[in-house]
Amino acid sequence: MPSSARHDDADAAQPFIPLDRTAAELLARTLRAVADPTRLQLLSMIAGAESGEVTVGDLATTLGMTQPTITHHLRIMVDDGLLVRDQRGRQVWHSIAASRKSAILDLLR
Amino acid sequence: MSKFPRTIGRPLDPEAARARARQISALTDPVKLRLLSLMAATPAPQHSPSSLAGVLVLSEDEINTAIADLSAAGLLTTDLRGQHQLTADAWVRFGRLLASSGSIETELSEVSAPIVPRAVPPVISRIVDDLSYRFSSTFSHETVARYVTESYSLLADRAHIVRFLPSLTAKFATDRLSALATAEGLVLRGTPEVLFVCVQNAGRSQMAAAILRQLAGDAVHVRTAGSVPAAAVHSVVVEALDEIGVPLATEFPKPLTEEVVQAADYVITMGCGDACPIYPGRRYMDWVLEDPVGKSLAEVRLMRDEISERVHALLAEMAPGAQPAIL
Repeated sequence: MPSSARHDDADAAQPFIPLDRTAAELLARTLRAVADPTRLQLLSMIAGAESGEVTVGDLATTLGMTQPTITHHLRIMVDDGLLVRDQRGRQVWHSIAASRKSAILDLLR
Repeated sequence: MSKFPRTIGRPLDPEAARARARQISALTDPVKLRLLSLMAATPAPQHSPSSLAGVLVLSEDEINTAIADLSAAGLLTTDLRGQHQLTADAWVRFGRLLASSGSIETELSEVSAPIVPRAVPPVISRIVDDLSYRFSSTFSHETVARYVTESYSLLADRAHIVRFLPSLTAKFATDRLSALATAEGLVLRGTPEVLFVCVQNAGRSQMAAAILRQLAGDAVHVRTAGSVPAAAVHSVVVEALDEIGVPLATEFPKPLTEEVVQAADYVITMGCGDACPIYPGRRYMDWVLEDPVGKSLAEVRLMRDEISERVHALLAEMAPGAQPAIL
């Protein structure tokens, strides 16, 4: 899908094709991974990070939760491909998968 | 301390996070997703439960139940003729996901595409005027204009049915401005951050910031900014503050950026027509104060005293029931 069409005239260029069964099932699974207040809070913190990535410790401190709890929530989103996990030394960094960023920013609006 | 101590984003406040989670939960059922997607793809008059049932191979009862659930989640609304249509929330948060051409995987080139300011129809200016009047005690006219235009662009990018855009824009902007005006769910973590904004960042905002720093010390982080920063703080302002023993030695005018607004818990514009970005979970206030530029010391003293009173009230609001100096 060329991206140039999208920002032209919203009502003209782009045909709006409804989701078929397969696409709907795939999307529903992703939405299940984010349909949780804590996970939405985590996404908002990662999305707003200056460098685009955050450590588990930073998230735990800000939300006042334990690191295992945060890790549990992050893993669900990593498994769905929403987040990318990167271990560097003793720190684990998480960032939003580039291909999912605009969808996640929309959900947080 | 660095200029922007926070390197991670501010979390959604708990109430906003719960509300969004409820909305998303309503769409974790593929049937409801397809229903909403179908309604997004076709103009409203074609949405009869029987036609929808036919396309989705479901019974009319199942369709009616799904419509009721989506309506309860704030994703569908019923217009005056009894037709169901997507709400502004549904368009803004899910609109791009509901078109199979724009699945959850987006192309890299689109990721950072900014909200493109577009020419807005005259009716949008009308909405700006109405909402500016309604929210005049909280947001400046420029802030409302910026916000309404942004809301319109968001919807225009997603909703392919242009007919209802003005009313959707008005509803969307009103709901969100109302929530921010009362700052529902504002939760302060640690040390509250207060941002004072005026045009030059050389008079009003500097006085308010200096007085608040004096009163609250380390208990509050205070920042200031101006939309058109002057070269230096007005000398008459420094003098008026010195008279009441408030120092202003190291302050200088700084530009207003998205980051300082995002870092703030309280954003106070000083009635001088600045457009602030609007983010959820912050408390916005507009203090109507005259510009001290060209005013005599006697006049600036009166302003100083009025600002001091407002700062005391603000501090009382930030720490209800507590002594200002020990938050």
